[in-house]
Amino acid sequence: MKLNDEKPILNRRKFLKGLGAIAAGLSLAPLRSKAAVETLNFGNGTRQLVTYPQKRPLMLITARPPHLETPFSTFNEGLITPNDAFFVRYHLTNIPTSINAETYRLKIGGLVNKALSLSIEELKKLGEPVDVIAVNQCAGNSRGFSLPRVFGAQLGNGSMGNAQWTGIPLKTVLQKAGIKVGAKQVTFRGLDNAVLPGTPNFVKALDIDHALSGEPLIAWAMNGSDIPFLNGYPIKLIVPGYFGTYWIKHLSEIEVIDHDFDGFFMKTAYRLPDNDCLCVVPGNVADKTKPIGSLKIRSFITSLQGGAEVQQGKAILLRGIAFDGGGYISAVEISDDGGQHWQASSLDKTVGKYSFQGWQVNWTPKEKGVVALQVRARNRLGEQQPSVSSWNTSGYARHAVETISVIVV
Amino acid sequence: MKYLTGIQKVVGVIFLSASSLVFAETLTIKLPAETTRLRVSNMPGYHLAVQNCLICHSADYIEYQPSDMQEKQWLAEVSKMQHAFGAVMSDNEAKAIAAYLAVTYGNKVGPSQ
Repeated sequence: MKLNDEKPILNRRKFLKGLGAIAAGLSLAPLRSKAAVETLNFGNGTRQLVTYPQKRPLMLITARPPHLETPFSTFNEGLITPNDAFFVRYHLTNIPTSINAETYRLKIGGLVNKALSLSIEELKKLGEPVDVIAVNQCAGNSRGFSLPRVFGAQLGNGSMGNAQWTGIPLKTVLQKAGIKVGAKQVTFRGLDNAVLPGTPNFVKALDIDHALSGEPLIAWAMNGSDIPFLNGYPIKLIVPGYFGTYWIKHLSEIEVIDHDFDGFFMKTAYRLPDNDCLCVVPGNVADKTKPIGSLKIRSFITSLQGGAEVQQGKAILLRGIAFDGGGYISAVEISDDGGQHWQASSLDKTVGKYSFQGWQVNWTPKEKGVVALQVRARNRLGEQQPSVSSWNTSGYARHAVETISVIVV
Repeated sequence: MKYLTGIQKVVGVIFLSASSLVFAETLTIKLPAETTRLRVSNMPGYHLAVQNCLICHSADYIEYQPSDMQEKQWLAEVSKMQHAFGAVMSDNEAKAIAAYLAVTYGNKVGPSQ
């Protein structure tokens, strides 16, 4: 039986009170009266919990540009990730810190019949608002678990969230401008900028068919409220089923173009090996790559975290989440014997194909000691999680069967 | 209300005429100060890192990288900053920064002082 080498007593919030830590000889760092931390289960994985505007304490990945991760325990609070707990990730250091929604304008140009400059009010009046519940997951979510390790933001599993987004279909806005013949892609950018002239702008592109499919939205509300500033206030591009890299914050410019966009963040960055496993042998470079696209199927146990104690012979209700790129989750199963036997869970009522799918199952620990609990999901398309994680240079799209170690007493 | 720390809604009222008002609302945030500094070293790459790396990102980006990265991997990362992200430095400066990072944040044994 080969499982992830997981230390059992980790992934648990710890409060290191300054005096106690020093008395125990644990820290030579400057005295902090109450430094709250969360420890991820990989080397150099301790993260401070910090409070940012409109946010509850979240794990600090980087301060500039802001990158905050949701503590994993949050995902057991419910299927919807609260706005104040939703992860934050910027790429460029010069981010806006003051936005006037009254004077804000979204520009639509390029290969269109009529270039537009829309206020938020004008955008809202273009048609009936649409709601979608959709998972936004960072391409590099879970990167810290890559073995061998890779450079990049060292993320645990919390750089994802599930919210109800309200907005107007991108299609409606593009049709208002009128798409000219020859349109091939649509590019998107927001208000964040670089500080050096040589740094590429953060611009992303979708194929014209995808942009006109009716699925991507330009949203102004998240879970019924204004989108938090750090998540893209006042409007954000929502691309259901796609990785978060396409979900442009503070959306300000849309351009229709007649070619495949060749900017850095499409042509060079955010790319995956162009093969079924999205992988290469560690140390190798992929012969051919493609832009990262739709979410890969994943599942997690949320009601227990690694290191939890459970009682032998006593049934407990395990709960968790699963999601994919919109193929409808059809089964979630657990195993406590290294994958020899799998026990089916019951799926909660589905709230949408792009949402977290809740599941639950009664589990009775049979033997005392450290037990590796595994969870895997399938969807209606027949896609399922691989038992072993594949590897790519950037640590993108990790989605293998998850394992947590619990202690049966 | 503690989660609202550092956020302000400023409502400005513009008088257009005696009978109509427009509310111009500005949302302003104040980000917490950075708390992580680059690890101090006598190696020449330390000052170069302070001058170059911190223009575009905070030191925690480096602080949280895996501790088993080799010098050639650090050099590839610094070269990416130089060539893909526009960091203005010479190749020799990039090498000095990579050497500092590999020793200070990795397992490589540093030069004797």
